[in-house]
Amino acid sequence: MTTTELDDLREAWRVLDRRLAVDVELRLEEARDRRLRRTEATLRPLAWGQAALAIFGLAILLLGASAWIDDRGNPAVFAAGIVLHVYGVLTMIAAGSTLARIRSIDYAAPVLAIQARLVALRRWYVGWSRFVGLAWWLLWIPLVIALSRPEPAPLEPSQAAWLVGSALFGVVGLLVTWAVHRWLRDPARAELERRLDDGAAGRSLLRAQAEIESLRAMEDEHGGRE
Amino acid sequence: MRQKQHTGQAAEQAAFTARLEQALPILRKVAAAYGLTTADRHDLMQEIALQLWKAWPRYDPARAFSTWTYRIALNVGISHLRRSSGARRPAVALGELPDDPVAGTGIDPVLEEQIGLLRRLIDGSNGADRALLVLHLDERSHREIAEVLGMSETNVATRLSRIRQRLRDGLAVHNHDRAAPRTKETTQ
Repeated sequence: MTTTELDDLREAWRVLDRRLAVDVELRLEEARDRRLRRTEATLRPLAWGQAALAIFGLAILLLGASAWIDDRGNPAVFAAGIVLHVYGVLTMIAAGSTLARIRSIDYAAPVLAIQARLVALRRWYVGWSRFVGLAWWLLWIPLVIALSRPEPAPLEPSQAAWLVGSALFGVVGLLVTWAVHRWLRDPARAELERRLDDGAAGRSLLRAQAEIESLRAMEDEHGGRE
Repeated sequence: MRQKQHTGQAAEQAAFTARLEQALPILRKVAAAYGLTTADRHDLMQEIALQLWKAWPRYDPARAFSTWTYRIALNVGISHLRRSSGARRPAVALGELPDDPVAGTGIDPVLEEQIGLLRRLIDGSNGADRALLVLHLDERSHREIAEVLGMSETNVATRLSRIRQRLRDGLAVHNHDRAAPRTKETTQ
């Protein structure tokens, strides 16, 4: 190289830029993989929780089944057994479905698609976990009945009064919960509702969503990626 | 009210993201000129993006976006270089590290030599001259360079001619050094 002018270096400058562009893309890919692995890891506690919940559902199912099969002659125990059986089945289905949704997340998909799957998972999880939780306003009554076997077969008047009182208490509890839920729907209380919703979603899902959100921001910063 | 604010912020962020995508080549070029190592260049790109976001509310759409971006990016680059020099960080240039993905493949020796020359020229320049080089190599007019750097067009031309002279001098020394061993071999 004997003569080189400044303008001759433009091609070298363009080559350097292209190489750096490739490097930026590689780094982005590495960072993306790292974050996706972290997202997958943060969902693991939720998956374990669902497995535990499915086992709990199975236990309730077995308790309910044994109650209605063994005590068909006692209407209260029979009804309690059926209710517990149904609740156990529904809990197992819900937990299994949540597990399937967690497993079906394709981490090779575009970030926006993963984000949409997490939003859907959260909506589903928060929705049914409300049902699972709220059911206990009344569900503890059949549970106590099923667990108190083989105590007095037909219900005595005092026990019947207890049953009605407990049911009323549960219904009032449910109504109050519903009223609070309605009250929270006011846009003025959106922040409080969001916090409660975050609480219901649990730390695992929130962290996974935060990871994906930061990945999306990173990709945006580097010019988007689909 | 809060929802409106949130929607406004989201729209603002989307507008910025779209603009930033356009500005990415500028960020890369400035990082290439002022970053010392691969990791350093990436950090610098992040820093520039952050400063652009902070300055975004003050951006006047009537003015050229590239000029605004260059001005901020080069200021960040110059400050970064000053900090790096203060910390006496090793100046590892682009294309010099064997594991540097930006290093050349050596397929075109002339081009690789030019890249080496360019790197030496950049590394031997101070912050302001690097800014001038980046803009000139990016085929910006003297007028545009003057606007970005806040100097007169005459000043731009003078400084560029000094850089050209430095390049010629450097090249002369380089050619002399390369020729010297050959001459020695011939005489022996």
